[in-house]
Order: sequence, then structure tokens, then C-alpha cells
Amino acid sequence: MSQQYLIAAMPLEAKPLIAHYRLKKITAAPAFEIYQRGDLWLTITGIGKVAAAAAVAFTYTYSGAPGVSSWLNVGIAGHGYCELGDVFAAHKITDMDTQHSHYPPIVIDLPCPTDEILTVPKVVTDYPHHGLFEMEASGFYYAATRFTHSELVQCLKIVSDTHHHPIEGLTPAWVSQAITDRIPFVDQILKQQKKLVAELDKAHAPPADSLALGERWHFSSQQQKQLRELLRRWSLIGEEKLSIEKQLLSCRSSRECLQQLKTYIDNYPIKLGTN
Amino acid sequence: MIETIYIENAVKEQARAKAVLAKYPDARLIFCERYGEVFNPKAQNFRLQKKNPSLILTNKHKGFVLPAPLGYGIGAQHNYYFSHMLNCPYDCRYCFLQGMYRSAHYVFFINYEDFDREIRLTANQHGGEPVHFFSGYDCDSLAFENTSGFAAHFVRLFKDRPHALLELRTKSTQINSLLEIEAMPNVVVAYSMSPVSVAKTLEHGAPSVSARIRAMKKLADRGWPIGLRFDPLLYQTDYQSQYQELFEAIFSTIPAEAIHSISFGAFRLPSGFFNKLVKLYPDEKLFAGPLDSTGKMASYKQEIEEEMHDFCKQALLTFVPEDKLFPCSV
Repeated sequence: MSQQYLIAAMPLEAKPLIAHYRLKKITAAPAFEIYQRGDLWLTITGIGKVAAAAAVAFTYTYSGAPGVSSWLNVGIAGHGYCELGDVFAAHKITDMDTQHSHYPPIVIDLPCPTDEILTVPKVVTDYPHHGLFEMEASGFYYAATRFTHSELVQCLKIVSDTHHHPIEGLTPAWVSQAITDRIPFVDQILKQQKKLVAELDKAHAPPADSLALGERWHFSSQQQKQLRELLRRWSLIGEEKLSIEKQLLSCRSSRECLQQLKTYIDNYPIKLGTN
Repeated sequence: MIETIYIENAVKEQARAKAVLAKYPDARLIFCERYGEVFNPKAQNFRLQKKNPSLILTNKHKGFVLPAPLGYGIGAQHNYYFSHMLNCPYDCRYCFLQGMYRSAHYVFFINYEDFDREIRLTANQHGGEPVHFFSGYDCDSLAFENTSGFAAHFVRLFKDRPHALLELRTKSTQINSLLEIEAMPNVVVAYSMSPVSVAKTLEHGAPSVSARIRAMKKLADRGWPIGLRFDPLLYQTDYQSQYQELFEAIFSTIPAEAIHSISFGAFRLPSGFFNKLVKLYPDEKLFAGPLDSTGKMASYKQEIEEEMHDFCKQALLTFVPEDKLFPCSV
């Protein structure tokens, strides 16, 4: 089953999400605090891009989930002149250490405006460029796109400090409330990501296995691959039941079985206009 | 509808970039240093990105005019192609671009004047022998005409070069820029055509077959030479009746004299591209057909390919003379 991952740097940012989605702490998980309910996971990474990247890699490995996954980083960020509480998705993530930029493809209908995220190694209070200043996104994005398609990786940042509202005035209560108030944004992104993941999952669902064939012969791993490919083709052009299964069962070997099946499918009438 | 435009910092002040941006005043604008930062990253999924592709504005720096691949010709010895865009707004399931690029974004090279220079040089290289230029290899030549003004710009180049021919390959009905000017005998508007059922099922977002025929008719009435491209020919059980119906629909509307050339070729792709397509669309029936991808090229079995070629050739010969037919093969 495919999984959805939420990534937050600080417990303060994570708590409202944990409460809203009623996530349960996985006590056995070492290294990072991980919460889960069903196919939704949340990891608290700690501060900084290295921690974020490590947490993504750890979470992915720990969850052990096959299939396509989606990732969303939720957190606070500074911005020179926006209003406190403004919320943005990332359309560009620049690592200010390396000046390397990532461009998350925007294929979903984002519920908020977008802006550039500038990942910095230390807290910035003079906001020297246009964009959202924070400390995790570049590490998060770099790592998450190792495990899934970049269209399924997003960052959502809430403006927590500006020239007019310096970071020194930031309180835990404000952060908690700000995240709570923006959960509908998180929810909308998660729902759309889930839809995309479901589409890919459905497209890549393995064809119904022909158990009888598997029981009759031993297929080598290469032959299993060939069988899966033939059954995929059959699932698209043929009827539900493999209509020559009886004939195949009378073959003398797995090799002959695959050859017969291929010939049968190659010659099966195909009609493209009935997808 | 373009929601996002990436623009290289180096081109943001160029007039053509500004003209494009003016057409999409509500688009999200994102600046980048090199378009490859957006277009080339590995983790992209063409299928997902095709749901909402963005436009990328950039300059091309080299390779403005390239030799056409073997078998890509309509009678001349000297064949070249050039691409002012990469990718296409249509989503044809058989298209090789899905296998070639990681991204579905539309890359628009706006430095037309550099293309102009190279086209002039290339056209003059062959001592007055016929030179053909193909423009719809990496994109559809006309589908973005309202934004790009591509045809309006490049057709003019061929006015004083009768030995050079320009093919605009398209499925688009955006032909106003051609209807507004005098037809030129050395500019061929070549329509990619498929049977109605194939077009409906596999050519997502492209104009219908009947809309393409209407567009061809308008162009033919104005004197533009028309090309017909049945490439790829797609195999299905009743392909003969489907293609026969298509040929009859076209030739009952378009006079044979208006036809400059017809090319046709069975579905074929480099195996690497084909395997990528299957990975992107494992649920696509087209890729479940009798195709062989074990060699360098993925194609139908030889007997199917020959049968399709023979059938189409014979059927087309009832409408046009043989010297207008250009079969393509693996």
C-alpha cells in the first residue's frame, strides 16, 4: 500500500498535525520521533537540512512500504514583508549554502500562493532576499525525490516572522495556533497527492496471477518477469480469465508455457478503440 | 492553460519573452538560471507532469538546425529539422517525446533570429539542390501558434528560397497565421492523421479528425500544399477498414491536387523509449499489442508491418499517384 509522509522540524509544528490526524507514536522507532495512522506518517526531524534529509531517508526505510509515496514538509518560515500567518507552497527551493535550486513541479491545484524557499544554515533576521527563509526544505526535497516522483513532493510554509514581527516575539502558542489554522491547506494537498498516488498505483497494479501456472512449474526470476509482462498484456487485451490456461498446463516446461502464451497473446484480436 | 512559466534570467528582458508573458498575465512566474535545472532533473514523472505542464522560456545556444533522422524525408537528399519547442500540448500515447524527455513542460526557445541565421546558412550549403526543413519533430509546429507566432515568423524565410522547403507538421487547427498570408508552394502543412477511434482513444487533447480535415480544407482552398502523415500506423484487428474510412474521409474533402506528399510508417520507437513508455503507462492497451522490443527498435512483427504498409500503399494509390507516397520503415 502506498504511504503519505508529513515531515516537520519541531515538535511544536508537528503537534497540531498529530492531534488532527490522530497519529500514534511508534515507540519502537529509533533515531527520530515517528507517528502513524494507516498510510499517513509524520516524522519530527529536528532543525536543519541534514536532519531533514536523514529523517526522510530513515522514515522511508523504516516504513518499509513498497509503491509510490507522497511527501509534504510543513513548517514555519521568515519572510521580509509578508503578513504573519501567510501560507505558501514552494515553487523553488534554493540551498543558500550551495546556491543549488530545486523546482518542485506543480501539477496539483495548490490551495495557496507559491514562493521561493531559501534554506539557510542559521536563523536569518534581516531577510536579505525575496522569499521564505527556513532551515530544512532543501534537505527534505533532495532526500524525498530519491524515493518518489518530484510531483509528489511539496513544502508548505507559514510566515512566522518578518521585519515588522521579529523572530524574538515568536511564541509556542502562536506556532501551534498557526499550524492548526492551516490544517485545511495541509489536508487539501494530502488529498490531491493521494489521488495522484492512487492513479499510479492503479496503473502499476500487478495483473491477476495465474496461480495454476505457478503451481505447475518453477519459473526462474527472469521467467517470472516474462510471465508478469505477458499477464499484464493479457489483462489489457483479453478477457478476465486466461482462456488457454488448460492448454498451458499441458505444456512440457515453463519455457514452452511462456512461448505458447506469448504466441497466443500476439495473435489475440486487439481493438484499440475500446480502452 | 499555462499556470506556471519558468523563465531564464538571461531572457527575461527579451521582447519575445515579454510578449509571451503578456499573453499569460495570471501565470506564476519563476526565474531560473538554466532551463535544464527545471527540465532535466531525474525524479520527474512525465505522466503526472502532463496533467499540468508549465512553459519554460529560454534561448537555444547550439544545434539550431540538425540533420533529420534517416527515413525522415519526402523526396529530397538534404533533410534537416529544427525545433523551436520541446514537447507538445497534446498527449498522444504513442508519442516518442514521452520516452525521450523526463519532463512534460514545454520548452520554448525564443531566439528565432539565431534559427533564421542557421536555416539560411544550411539552405545555401547545397548549391541550389532541394533542401527540406522539418519543424514538427520535437513539438507540434502550430499547436502553440497563438503564443509563439512560429509559423508567422519562419514561413517568411522561405519566400525567396524556392529550392528550400519547410514542413510544418501538426495536428492543430490554429491556422489563422497561414490563412492571413499568401500561400507558398514550398511550405507544406503536414497533418498527422489517425483513424477516428485511434484519435479518440490515444490522441488526448488533440483536435478531432474531422476538425483537422476542415483545417486542411481551408488551407488547401487558399493554395497551401497539404501533407498527410499516417505515422504511426497503429495495428488493431480491423485496422484496414479503419484506415480505409479515414482515407475516404480525407479525400472526399481534400482534392488530390492539393496533396503535396503522403508518408506512412508503422509504429516504431527506439526500444529504450518504448520501455519507458510502458513503465509510464503499463495500463495502456496500445503497448499490449504484438510489439517486439528486444532489438534496438520496438516495432510490430515484420509480417504485420509489411501487411500494413502494403495495405496502406494500395489504398492510397487509389487516390494519389505513387510519386507522392513516401513509406517510412524501421
